Amino acid sequence: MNLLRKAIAATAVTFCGVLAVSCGLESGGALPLSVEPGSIQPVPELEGVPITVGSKDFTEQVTLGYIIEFALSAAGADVRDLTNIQGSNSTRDAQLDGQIDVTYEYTGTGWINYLGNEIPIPDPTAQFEAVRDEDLERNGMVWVDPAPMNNTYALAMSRQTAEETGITTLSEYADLVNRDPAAATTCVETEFNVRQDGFPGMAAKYGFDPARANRQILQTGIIYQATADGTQCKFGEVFTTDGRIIALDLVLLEDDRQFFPKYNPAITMRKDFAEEHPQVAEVMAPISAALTNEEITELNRRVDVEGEEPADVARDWLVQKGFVTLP
Amino acid sequence: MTAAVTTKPTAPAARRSERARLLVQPILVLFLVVGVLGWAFSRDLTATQKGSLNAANIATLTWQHVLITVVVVVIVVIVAVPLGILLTRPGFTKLAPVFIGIANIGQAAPAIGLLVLLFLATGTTGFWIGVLPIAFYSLLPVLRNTILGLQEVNPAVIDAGRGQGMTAGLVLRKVEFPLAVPYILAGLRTSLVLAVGTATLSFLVSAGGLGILIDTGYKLRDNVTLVVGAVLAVALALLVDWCGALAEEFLGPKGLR
Amino acid sequence: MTDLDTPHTNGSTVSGVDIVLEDVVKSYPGQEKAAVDNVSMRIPAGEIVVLVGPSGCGKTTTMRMINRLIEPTSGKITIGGKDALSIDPDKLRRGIGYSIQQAGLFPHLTIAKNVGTVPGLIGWDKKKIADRTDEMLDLVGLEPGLYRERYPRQLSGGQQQRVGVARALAADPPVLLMDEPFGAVDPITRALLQDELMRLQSDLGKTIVFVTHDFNEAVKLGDRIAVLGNQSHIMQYDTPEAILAHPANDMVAGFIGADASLKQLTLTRVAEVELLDCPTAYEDGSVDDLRAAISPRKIKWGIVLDARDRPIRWVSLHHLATATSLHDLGDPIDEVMSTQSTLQDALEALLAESSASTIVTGLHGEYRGLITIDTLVAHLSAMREEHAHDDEDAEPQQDGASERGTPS
Repeated sequence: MNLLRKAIAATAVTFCGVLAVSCGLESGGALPLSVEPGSIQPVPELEGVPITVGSKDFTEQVTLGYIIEFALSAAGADVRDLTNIQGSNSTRDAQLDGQIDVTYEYTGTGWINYLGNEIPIPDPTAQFEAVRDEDLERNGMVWVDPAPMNNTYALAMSRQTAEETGITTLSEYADLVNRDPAAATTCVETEFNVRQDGFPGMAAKYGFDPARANRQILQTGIIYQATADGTQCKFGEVFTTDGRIIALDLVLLEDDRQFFPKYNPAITMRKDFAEEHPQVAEVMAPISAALTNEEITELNRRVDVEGEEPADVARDWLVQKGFVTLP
Repeated sequence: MTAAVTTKPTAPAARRSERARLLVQPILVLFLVVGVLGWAFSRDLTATQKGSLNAANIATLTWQHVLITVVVVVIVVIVAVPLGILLTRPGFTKLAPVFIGIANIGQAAPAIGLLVLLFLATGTTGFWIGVLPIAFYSLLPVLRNTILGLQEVNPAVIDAGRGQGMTAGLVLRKVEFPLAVPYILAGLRTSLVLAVGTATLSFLVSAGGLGILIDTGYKLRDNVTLVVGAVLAVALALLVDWCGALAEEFLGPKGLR
Repeated sequence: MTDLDTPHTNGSTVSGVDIVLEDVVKSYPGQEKAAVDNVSMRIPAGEIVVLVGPSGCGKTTTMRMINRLIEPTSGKITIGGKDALSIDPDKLRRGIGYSIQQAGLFPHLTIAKNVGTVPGLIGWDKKKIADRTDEMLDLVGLEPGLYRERYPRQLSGGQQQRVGVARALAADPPVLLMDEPFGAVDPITRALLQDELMRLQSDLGKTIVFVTHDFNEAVKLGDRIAVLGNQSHIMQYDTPEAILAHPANDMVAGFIGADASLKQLTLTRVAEVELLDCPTAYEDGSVDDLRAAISPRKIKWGIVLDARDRPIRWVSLHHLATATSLHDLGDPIDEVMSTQSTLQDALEALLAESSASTIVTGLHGEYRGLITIDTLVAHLSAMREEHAHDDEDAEPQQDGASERGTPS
């Protein structure tokens, strides 16, 4: 009797769990905070329009996702929250399937990962236009409102290493590798290690043998601390907008030969949705324009280093810029 | 997770099927390795994939993985067996729950947490940072089984040994320990397999291993690399389990089979 | 003088030494009463002394203090005159044989390795150990060639016990401690093992301290029995006959059980009692002479013997009345008793045959006499009277020899 009851309870819990999860994925949750209009005024055509906003599962994406949500909420839409979707390509799939309507996607990701091109375009505007055109044609996806911020790969070093070596550019780094590999231990994670737009490609572009460089493979997060410590990692692979760059006083090397792809975030929507609600692009335009590397790195720092909630940080920034006001 | 890790040594009836497995398992391993490598290299690999899937890299990563596993096992044996012996000596038995509790934490805590904690505590990365947490993680089965094996020794046998004038040390060396060996080997076998599996995380602190292939494949959505990494890790686990079975079969005292 | 065939030792080989316990106490911390409260006893060399008592009385504790598996709280123990408490305990134990109920054979070692344990500890060379192992296995009735390389789990319980005994004897210790060694085997095997032990003892003459809770076993094996009560107090320490004939108190009597008298019968052999006479004649003897010999007697029977004095037939006066020769005269004899049989066997035979008397023959089958119920009863009364004056102290009779069967 006891066993039967347990079995029923287990089945019920599982069922509810599955229901909850599947419901969550499909309809999205409510916004965690509320906002009032600021410079963004209510738009009649968006009044009560259900819009589901998604994002990938890392800090910057989640913050950007909330920025879209609060902006559109201030404009009067009925916004559902589907930020923090696990898995790199899940967001893209969700958007193609119609589970999410709007997200910030990176031009480089679209060009290389989704459209399968191997060679990135160095000029950010040209890159954006190329992605916009090809993705619209092939997949019916619309790209608008690119931001100036560029979250791409870079090599960083600690302030101390910078002062000791006097290196400022990747070309100088390449020289160091060729001269004295032991002094140039570089810490990377697995993806960057093999990607053509990662270390191997960089080595080719800058003229050094990737095998000669003393590479260490670490977990992404650990690299920042290890690079700041400077003992095992003189140089480390970082993302240019990561908050820890400020927090750990890391110095970025300049990509003087323009190797790394540009990853400017832009608003992406399905074609039918974009055509039905052109106001979305209008509302988001000034926001995208305000998103620079300095701004976003500071937002990332507040979340990753200070431990604040992405939603709070997103709203604070919008308030600070005057886009919305607190209720 | 505290899985039921006090594995008892295999009973005689199960021994026969064990013997059959002893022949089949290495063949299965060979089959898996040849199969997956053959499959991977027969495909058109992109430049990115070739970065991971080349003979030198696979060999290096496999070797690193084996090395990590071997060192983990050595550490586990050196720590857990003497500790287990100590905790069954009169006067120390009260401490046994304490150490079992600690080993339990080792196994319950997520291995990745342990790896990162050790990195933060020491500020370094490298082989030992990748090995020590795995050793801590794999400690419990051997410790528990050493204690259990020694507790299972028939008290009459120990009494007879002491009664005939064997010193306590002699009884431990010549009677208790040999009788506990089957249990220890069973626990060791479990530890070995745990170690191989968990060592797929060691790369996160720069200790290398097959985990690199798995992580690369996952991040790049490159199923070929992912599968190669995963299948090789599984094959290694099966091989290591087979070695454990061999040890159980041939290293235990003859009189007990 | 009758054939004083002492059942246990033949007197000549005594390789054992005596053990003396003086005021030995064992108390455990936290317990009000001592487990062993002031035990003093002397175990003579070459004898089997059995410690019997109810469970929990402390008999095993007492025995285990002799080889210091349990350390006495106070008191003195000497073995062969040497103070046992001043020697290194492990060294002490190598000189004392130890046999326990579950045998305690090392399961991961061969029988040979098991038996050779103590010689190995002492440091004998390999050949000596191997020879001795074979000798010991032979001694306990296990063929060395067959059993040497086997493992304990391949042996039956009884065989394992035999190996246990062989192991205890391997280094030829003068003292043997046995803690209910036959308790875990079936009754048939137990009887066989007890007989084996007695046979071994008759050859070896060790000093054996034997613990059991089975009083019958104690009577069968013991030269002396110490009946122990709570806290190992010695209630009576004497020969089996003495205890059976005259239990010191109710507790001892209760321990013996209701059939003390019957038990006593097992202790005496037919050879030790006075047998009744009966007229005999050879086959070619005179009928008249026999008739004349029988007539005045109460029992109107005679026995015809063959040329070697062996009884072949009963003849009654009735048979003789019309007989001319003793050849083929009378009834054939069914059962005879040998002088080696116990009085209990005699009682069994008398009851089984429903006859008043049974013929007793000697070692070669020659006629010795008759035994009747009266003989048995008379013997028992004599025993009772003899031991009515025994004291209750722990010292055994001074001369150490058994007091059985003095002919009346």
